[in-house]
Amino acid sequence: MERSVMYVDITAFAVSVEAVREPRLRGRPVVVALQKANRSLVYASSYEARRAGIHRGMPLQEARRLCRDLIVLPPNPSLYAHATQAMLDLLSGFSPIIEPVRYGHAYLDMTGTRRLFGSPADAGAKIQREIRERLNLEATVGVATNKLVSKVASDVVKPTGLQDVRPGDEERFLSPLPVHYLPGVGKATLQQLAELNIHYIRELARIPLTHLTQLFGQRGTQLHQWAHGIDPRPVQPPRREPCIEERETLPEDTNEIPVLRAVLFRLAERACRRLRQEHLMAQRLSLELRYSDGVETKGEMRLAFASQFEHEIYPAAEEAFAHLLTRRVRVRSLRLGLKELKPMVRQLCLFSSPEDERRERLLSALDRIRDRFGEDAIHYAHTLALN
Amino acid sequence: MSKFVHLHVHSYYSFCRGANSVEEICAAAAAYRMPYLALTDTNGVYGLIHFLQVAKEHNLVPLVGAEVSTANERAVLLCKSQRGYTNLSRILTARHLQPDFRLAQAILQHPQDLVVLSDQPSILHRLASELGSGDIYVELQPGRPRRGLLDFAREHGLKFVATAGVHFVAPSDYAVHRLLRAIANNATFDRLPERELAPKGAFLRSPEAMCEAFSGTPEAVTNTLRIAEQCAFDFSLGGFIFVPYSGPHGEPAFEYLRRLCYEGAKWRYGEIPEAVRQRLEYELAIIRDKGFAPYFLVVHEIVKQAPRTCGRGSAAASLVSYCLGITHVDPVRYDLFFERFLNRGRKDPPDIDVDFPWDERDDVLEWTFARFGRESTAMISNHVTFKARAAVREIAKVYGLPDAEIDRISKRISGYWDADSVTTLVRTHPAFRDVDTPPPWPDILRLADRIHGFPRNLSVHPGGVVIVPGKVEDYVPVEMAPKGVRIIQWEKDQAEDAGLVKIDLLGNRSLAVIRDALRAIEQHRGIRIDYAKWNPLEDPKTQELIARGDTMGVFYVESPAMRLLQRKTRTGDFEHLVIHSSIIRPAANAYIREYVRRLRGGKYEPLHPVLDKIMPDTFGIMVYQEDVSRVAMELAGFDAVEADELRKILSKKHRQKQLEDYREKFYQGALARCVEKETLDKIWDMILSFSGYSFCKPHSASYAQVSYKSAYLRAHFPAEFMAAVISNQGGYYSTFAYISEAKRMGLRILPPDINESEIEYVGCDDWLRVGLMQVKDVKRESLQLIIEERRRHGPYLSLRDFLRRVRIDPSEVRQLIKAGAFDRVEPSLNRPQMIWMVNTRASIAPVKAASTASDLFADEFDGPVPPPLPEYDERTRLRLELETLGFLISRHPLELYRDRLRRKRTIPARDLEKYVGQRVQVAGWLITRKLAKTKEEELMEFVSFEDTTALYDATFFPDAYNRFCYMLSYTRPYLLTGKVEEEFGVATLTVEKVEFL
Repeated sequence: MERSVMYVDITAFAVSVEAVREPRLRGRPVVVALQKANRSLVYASSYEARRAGIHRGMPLQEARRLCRDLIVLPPNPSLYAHATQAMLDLLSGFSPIIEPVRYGHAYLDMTGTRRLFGSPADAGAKIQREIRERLNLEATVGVATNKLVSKVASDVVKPTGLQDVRPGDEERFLSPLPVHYLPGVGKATLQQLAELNIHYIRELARIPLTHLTQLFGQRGTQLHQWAHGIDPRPVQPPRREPCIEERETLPEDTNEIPVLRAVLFRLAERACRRLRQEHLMAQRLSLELRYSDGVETKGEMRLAFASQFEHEIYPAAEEAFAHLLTRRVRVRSLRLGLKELKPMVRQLCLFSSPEDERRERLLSALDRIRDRFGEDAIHYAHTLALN
Repeated sequence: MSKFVHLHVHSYYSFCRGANSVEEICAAAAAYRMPYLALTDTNGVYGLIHFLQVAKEHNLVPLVGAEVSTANERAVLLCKSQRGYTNLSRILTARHLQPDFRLAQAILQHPQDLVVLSDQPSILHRLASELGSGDIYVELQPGRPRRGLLDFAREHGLKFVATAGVHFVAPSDYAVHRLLRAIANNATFDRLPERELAPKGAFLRSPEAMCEAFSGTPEAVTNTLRIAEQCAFDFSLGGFIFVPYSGPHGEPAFEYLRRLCYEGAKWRYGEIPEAVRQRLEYELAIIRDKGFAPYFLVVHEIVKQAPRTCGRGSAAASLVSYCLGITHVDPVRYDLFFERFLNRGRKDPPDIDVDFPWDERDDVLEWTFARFGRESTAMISNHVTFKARAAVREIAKVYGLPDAEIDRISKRISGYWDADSVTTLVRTHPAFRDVDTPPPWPDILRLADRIHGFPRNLSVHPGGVVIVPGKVEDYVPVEMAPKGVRIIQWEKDQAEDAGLVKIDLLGNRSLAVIRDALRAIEQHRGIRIDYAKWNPLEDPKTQELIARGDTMGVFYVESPAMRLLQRKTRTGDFEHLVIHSSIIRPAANAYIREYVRRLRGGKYEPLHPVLDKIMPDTFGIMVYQEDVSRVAMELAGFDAVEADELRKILSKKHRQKQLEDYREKFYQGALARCVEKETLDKIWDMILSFSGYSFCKPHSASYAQVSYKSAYLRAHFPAEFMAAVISNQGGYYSTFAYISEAKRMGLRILPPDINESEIEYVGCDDWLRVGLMQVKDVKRESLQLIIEERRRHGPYLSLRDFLRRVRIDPSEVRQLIKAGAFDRVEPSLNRPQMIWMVNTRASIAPVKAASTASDLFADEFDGPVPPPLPEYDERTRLRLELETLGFLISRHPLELYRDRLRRKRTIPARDLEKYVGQRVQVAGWLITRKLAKTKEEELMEFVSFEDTTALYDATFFPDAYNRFCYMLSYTRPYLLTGKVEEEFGVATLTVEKVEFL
């Protein structure tokens, strides 16, 4: 049976979901960026803002200069997660095989759904309509016989619209497009191709496979397939390793260690509280630092024993932190992940000291207070460096 | 008088530790009415001579010392005598040169006349047991644990002494100290280890506070005074310090010198005229009386090592130097004033500067070290200080700002503006108009102002060498510069004040230009010019060229200001060139204009008849340094020594006070001779225009001679000359500007070619071939491989052939392809196909030894035939030309804007003179720019532009400068609107408006 793949992309996702909550934002230049920080960058922008020349990654100050009445919203990951879930729920009515990509984007395998929803293009239009009516969002939809072409199709018709690439038309559809439309053709490849005077997909497609593999090795085969609109990758629902993750972006970048430690402790507290809520223990932690200039460093560490308590996990996190912090540049954000999760096992009383027991009692008291009065109701004094 | 003396004090000469200048520290100590003050900088006496002078001004008795420290040892050493100082200097030298330096051991090797203060029991114990406890003291500091040390002292019968371990004058300067430490350690404030910091209490405490802090152990305080009394001595290295010298077979130096001089005179003059003989005897007598013969002989010997040199500076006033071949201008013929170089009254040593071709100088230095002994020779150091831009960068890094953010501010602070206050600069300068400075920038800028001018490390002086009798380290500590040269801890001024005689051996690009051009002329045309005999001063073609100001590329006279002056004066003879290359000084604009007016026949009344008498050639306008001296002598009755001192002080940096004294004296003397006050004010103003840098006539004459030689080459052999100018780099202009000039001179520019190009530019007849050196991102060694292989086995037959024969990085081959270097050798392939070949070859056979056997199968490894790829379009080719060469050679960049220009009403720059007094529009590509200040201290700029027809000069007065300076860059064309102004027949554009084209 002929494959049919659909790519759904919510237009200006982060900004649009905000506009759903706050309709006055519609039709206005809106960006998402950290507002408090002095040199923050634009995370996402509405099409109105893009028309003023603003793009993702631009310093907020510059964006403000380009557009006087720019509306700036803070990033809101939980809202994005929520909206993405709503989108996936809606899409699950059309296909059982859905592969979400980032917030607000997903592939659907529509193979064999013709009898239920009509032609793939009809189904796409229906999905667009439902997204508009039920979620109050706009979406672009690309329909094709594989993931690659459906994604490119959707990119081509941005910000709104539906592009249906008929079976057999893949190559003809791609050929006039610049090579950067192909996923995975990043800066380096783009430059290499430009040196060879290859700028459009049709020019790439003209190069015989043997020539391409001589140049790009294994990747040559893939490039060759892509340039011809061939992509055998299946739509794959996610298989995720369970992981508890907490991240925080500092209100203002800093390289002061007491402040960074306080943030780290807070992340450990939050992550451990979630562990306890879900009756889990973690055996491994990962830590990621992001500096002012966008440089990221990551580290992982295996814990001596699985735990769900911050007084056991934080010291390890601090060690990883000391290891990672090698530059003088200010830090913008931290992310702490807890992995290799396993169900909570009661520790044998034999090994737990009265000290430990006291601590655990203290922590469960803290948890209860927070459950009742909120996250910020109570803090350790040393995290006050943050306020 | 206070009972306490600070014996442990760091100034900013403890690099990146002390937070105050020597002046600030001395002033504070004097305010406490302290009789003595020690300066004990970390591991050095970097500011010693300066400190001795400043202490004297504040009526303090200076105590000489240093803190010697390593990773885990430290002690303060104070000198009781000159011998003690010699020992300190040896210990400090060992500290810097010996990798296995141990403090106690080093002191034990040179223990005499040193007082040791330390808080480390192990060191104290070892020294006391070997040397006795007389001069060993346990150092106590407020705020540091004391009990253990007191117990230790009592147990071993040692005395103790109180210090404050001063690192800053006021407690509030702790922040500056901490900042300096963070910069030095590449750290942030809270990642700076405790041990790197002085305690917060390490400020210059009052005597009362010190007595108070040590009320329990009063002898710790009284001991400070005792030590100070022991350590007070008059520091002196004992006059001129220079290596002794004798002729062959032990001939005494002076006899030998005399013999050489007469031999030299015969070589220079043939028959020796009486005037020459007299002058020679006169000079020799002074040299003999002062004992300077060895100095001349040593310089003579060094100069003989290279065929092309240029002795310059005041030494060129000496007939002895001329006869010895050290200098090349006849001082008798050109009336050069010997007393500017040497006179009986002068206290300072002679100073000879010699230029060598820049690429030969290191060999000459090496020869000198070997000849006179490494231990007896060293180079003078430079004290590198924090300038506005470096300070801002370093501080911002401590604050953790990312590079892009730092660049945003620091790139605009040109390293050359000696901005005293960056804060003011950023707040008020138009270049910062669109720049936000959110926190923490205000803090950073404030601190940058605070550490402005602080020394941060040593570097090597461009050419100063000292050669001493015995070892250098007996006079001043020696360190090793990163490039492996021994340097002394003092910079030029302190070295000179201490009596060290230096020889300056400097690198000069133009001597290499002349050498290379002469070599090319001989190679291409078989014309041989004998450098030693060559005298182009009377060549009419050269004179015309200089009179036209067509001197781009010509040594010393190629700047726009100089070329304008030449055009205005329309003189090209040697004598005038000497005047003109001297009168061009910053701060002398008004006098230059007046000079030109008078030269062109303008009527004038001299400020004072004496001026006209002293300086008839320059119409009573002071041009040379010695004019200042002579005016001071004639007008104000200065003696020769005073007059020379005045001349010297004008060119020094820290001089305000002394200059004031001389002004007083000048006025008094002149008023007594009935010169009117008003006239005097004008003359003094003219004298002040010699501040900063200025030149003496012998120097200008020496350089003008080199200018003449290079001008001669430009006039007669333009292709060879321009090739040499560009190849040696480092001229006043960019390579692009020289290429444009070469085109205007009628030369064809040929593109780089793998078989035709050399590494350097080559020129002959009417063409100039771009050298492979111009292709960016190709390493020197790779170029050498390419040329070497071509020389050995013949031209490359194809790209394949090249790839087979030369193993260099594929990225370098790609650069060469993009630059078009293979276009002629591989006509069957286009550039994308060539790049394909390089890339596939790189991925298929990354490592394949270039053995002959494999050549049998060569084709197998060459990879398959490239697929058909389209050739780059015209736009891409131009872009690549720009990327790989740095500029366009195939056409002038303005030609790309021809369509846009057609719609504007521009005039060609060549015709500027026809539009005097009118408002015009001209297209412009920036060539060079020079910032200046008006009398009102407002910034303005002189900018040279060119269009496709000519080079022209534009002036941005403060108003235009403020509005447009931020728009100017070397990368895009402009449309200039302004008024054409004329002065002495030369038209310039006064800019009113700048637009991007």
